[in-house]
Amino acid sequence: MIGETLFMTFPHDEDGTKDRVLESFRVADYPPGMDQAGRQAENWLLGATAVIGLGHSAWTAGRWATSLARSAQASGAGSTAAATSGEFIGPLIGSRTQAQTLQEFSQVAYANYQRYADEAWVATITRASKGNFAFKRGLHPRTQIGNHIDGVARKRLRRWAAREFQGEGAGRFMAVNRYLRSPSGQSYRIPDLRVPGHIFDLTLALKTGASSQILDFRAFSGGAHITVVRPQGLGGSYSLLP
Amino acid sequence: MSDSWEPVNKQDWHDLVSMVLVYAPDFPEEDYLEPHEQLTLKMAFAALRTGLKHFAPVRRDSSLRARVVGLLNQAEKAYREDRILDAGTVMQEVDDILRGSKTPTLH
Repeated sequence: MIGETLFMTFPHDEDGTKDRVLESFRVADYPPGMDQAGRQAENWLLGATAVIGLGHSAWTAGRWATSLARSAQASGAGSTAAATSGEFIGPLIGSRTQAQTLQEFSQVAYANYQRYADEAWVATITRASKGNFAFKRGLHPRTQIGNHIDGVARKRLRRWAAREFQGEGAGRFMAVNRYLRSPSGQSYRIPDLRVPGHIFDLTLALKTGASSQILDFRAFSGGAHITVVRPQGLGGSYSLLP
Repeated sequence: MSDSWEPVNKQDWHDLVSMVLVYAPDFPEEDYLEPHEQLTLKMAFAALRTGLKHFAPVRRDSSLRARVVGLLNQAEKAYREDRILDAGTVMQEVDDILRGSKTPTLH
């Protein structure tokens, strides 16, 4: 599959054509496992648009890709038509970030997220140990610390995204605290951070691949890699195998 | 998306409160920002006051807005005077009000 061009489709197009093609991309540009994502194209809208490198809305990207796919089928040109769209997303993402591929971008986003979590953990524990952290009654202090570390990391990620690549969310390079819906649309999860092919979840507790949250992340995203991000002071982060 | 510290929605507002609770009055330096763009206490509280526009009850109720702004001013002053716990307690109160929570904070 590496190097092949994939077309991802899903069957509920707004204009009733039933064959909306979101994007084509070279599998080599994604981490292993990403090629299982076809059935979950909607959840990859973020990545699909990012690969195209357009700042337009996801809908615009979808229409563009649909048109492109139809043209390719009509002409018999097959996969060559859009094969180059995912080779790089550069010249660079952001003025300081210096990422040229999605893999590099994913690594930078993870490194930042980890650093934000580590710094917030140290700052919070230091403040609490001096008796300077105002805890609420009725909620375990560890939970409150976790919530605030989550909040700090999200805020810093959003600020970074806003400065470096026009923000986060649908049609951007990453999504912070956004809905990830099931294929049926009847349930959802809200991962802390998503980049194409990867979900990062910040937590103080240990989570296994058998937890319902992790199972849903994987199912709803169509097989994204999942990394549980934990402060280094608590043992650090780890990824979960399917 | 606004290229500033101003909250873009309610969740982002609460996340900025977390930034304040964890770090104020001295915030971490962001290596991708210019010196004048780094988050400061003044900037954080200005953003929190501006970000109140995301809360419908605050928009509708001028007395609630006055109360929340008063508490934010009180917290900012406490941070300036290095009364971190007092400031944090007030911030938690503001956070509770805007979350609709009645849970009191510890002193």
